[in-house]
Amino acid sequence: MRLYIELAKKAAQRQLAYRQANLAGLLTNLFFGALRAYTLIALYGVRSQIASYTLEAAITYTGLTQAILRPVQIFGWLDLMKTVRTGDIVSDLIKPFDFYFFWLAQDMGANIIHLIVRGVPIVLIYALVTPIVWPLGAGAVTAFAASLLLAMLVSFAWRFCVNIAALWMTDAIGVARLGFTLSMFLSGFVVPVRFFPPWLQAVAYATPFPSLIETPVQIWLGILAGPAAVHAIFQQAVWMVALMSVGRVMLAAGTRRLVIQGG
Amino acid sequence: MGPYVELYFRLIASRIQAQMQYRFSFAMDVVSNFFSNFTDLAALFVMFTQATALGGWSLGQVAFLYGLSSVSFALHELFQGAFDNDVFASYIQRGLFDQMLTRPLPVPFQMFTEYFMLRRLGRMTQGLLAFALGVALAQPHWTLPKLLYLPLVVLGGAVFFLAISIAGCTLCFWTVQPTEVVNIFTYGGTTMLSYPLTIYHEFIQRFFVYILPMAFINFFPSLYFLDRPDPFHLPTFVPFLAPVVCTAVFVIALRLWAFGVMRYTSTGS
Repeated sequence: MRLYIELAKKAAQRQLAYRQANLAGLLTNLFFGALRAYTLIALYGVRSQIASYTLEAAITYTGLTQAILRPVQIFGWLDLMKTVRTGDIVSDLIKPFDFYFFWLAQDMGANIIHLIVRGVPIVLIYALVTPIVWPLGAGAVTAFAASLLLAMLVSFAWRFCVNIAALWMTDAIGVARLGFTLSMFLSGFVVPVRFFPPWLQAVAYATPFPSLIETPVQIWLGILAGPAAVHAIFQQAVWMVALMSVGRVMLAAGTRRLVIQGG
Repeated sequence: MGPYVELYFRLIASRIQAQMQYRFSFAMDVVSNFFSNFTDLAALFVMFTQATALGGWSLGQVAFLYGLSSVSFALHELFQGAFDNDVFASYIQRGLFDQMLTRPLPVPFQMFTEYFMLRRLGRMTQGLLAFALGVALAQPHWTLPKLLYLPLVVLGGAVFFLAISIAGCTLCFWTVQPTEVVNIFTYGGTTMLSYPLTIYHEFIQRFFVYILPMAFINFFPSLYFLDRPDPFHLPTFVPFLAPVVCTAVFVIALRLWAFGVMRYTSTGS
C-alpha cells in the first residue's frame, strides 16, 4: 500500500511542477465555462426551469463540469496505450508491483492535483461572479465527495479498458478516440443528460458514463438527494467493480498474448 | 511564384500519399475526427429540443453560423501545416526548426508544407453537414451576390484562424512549450462563433468585434446571408468587410512571426 501512495505522490508532484500549464489550463477552462453558461442563459430565455434544472443550477452545472473535467479526464487518456506502442509496457509488467494499481495510483495522484489547482479555483471564481447553487448540508457534501471519488475511479476503469484494448489492435488510437467521444457525450458533459430526448436518456442511463459527470453534479445541485443520491452512488460503485473486473480480465488475457508474441 | 506552386502541390501530394499507406487506420482516424466534432452539433440539436430559439436565432440560423465557422476552422486545420502550437513547440524543442532556417526556401513556405493532416476531413464533413442543415432549415433568400460572396467569407474565416495559429506559434519562440492559452482563441473561438455573438457578455462581444475582430469570420457575414438586422448598428457595408479584415489580420500575424524568427535564439538541441 505504501508503494502506491508514494507513486500517487510522485505523480502529483510531477503535475504540480507545470505551473504555467496549470494556469493556462485554468484560464481555458474558465473561458469555455463562460461560453457554455451564456449559451444556457440564452437557451433559458424567459423560462426559469428546464428539465429539473433552474437557471442558477444550469450555470452551476457549467462551472462544476469545467471544474471536474480534468480530474475525471473526460477527454480521455492514451498514456497507457503509448507504452504498448513503445514497448515500455513490458518493463512495467515485470516490475514487482501490481500493474493495475501502479497505473491507478499515478492516475489518482494527478487527478487530486487537478482538483485542487483547477477544480477548486474554478468553483470559487464562479461563486465570485455569479450566484451558484451549493450542496445543502453536511450529508450532501459527503455524498458529493463520495460520488466524485467514484466518478474518478469509474473513469479510470473505463479508460484502462480502452487503453489495454491496444494489446489486440496495432492501431487503436482511432478506436480509443471514438470511445472517449462517446463517453464524453453520454456522461452529460456537453449537455445535461436530463436535457436529452427520452430515447437518448435511456441509452445514456444504460451505460456507465453518467457516473462520470451527471451523478456527482446532480448530487451537488440537490437534484439527487436522500435515498435517490444513495442509490446513484451505489450504481457508480457497481459500475466501478464491473469495469475494473473487465479491465483486469483483459489485462490477464492480453498479457498472455504479449508473452506469446515475445513482446 | 510558379515554381513554389508546383513544389507546394508536390510536397502536399507526398504527405497525403504517406498517410494513405495505412488505409484502415486512416479511415478510423477520419471517422473518429468526424464524431469528435459531431458532439457539438448533437448538443445544439439536444438544446433545441428544449427551446425554439436561442438569443432570437432559430435552430437553422444557429446551425448556419455553426457550419460557417466550422468549415472555415476545418480548412485552416487542413492547411495550417506545422503552424500548430503542439507541433511547432516540439519542433523547437527538438531543434527541427533550426534545420528549416538553413534550407534555401522561405520559412513560412516550409511550415505550410511540413504537415498535411488529411484526417481533419472529418471536421470538414461535419461542418458541411451543419451548414447544409442550416441552409435547409433557415432557408436564406439566395441571390447571385450572396452566392458569389459565400466562398470569400469561408476563405476569409480560414485565413483568420490561420493568423491566430501563426501568432500562437510565434509565442513558442519565447515559451518553448505549447501554450494552452492559444486554445482559447482557436478551439474557444470556433465554439464561441457557433452561437450568436449577442448572447455573450458585453465585454466578450466588444472584444471580438473591435479588438480581435473574429465576428467577421461568420457573424457579420451571416447577418447579410440571413437578412438579419445588425444588433451593433454599424454601417450597412460592414458585413462586406470580412475579406479585408481577415486579410489584414493575416498580414499582421505574418509580421509578428517574422519578428519572432528574427529574435529566435534556438534552444541548442
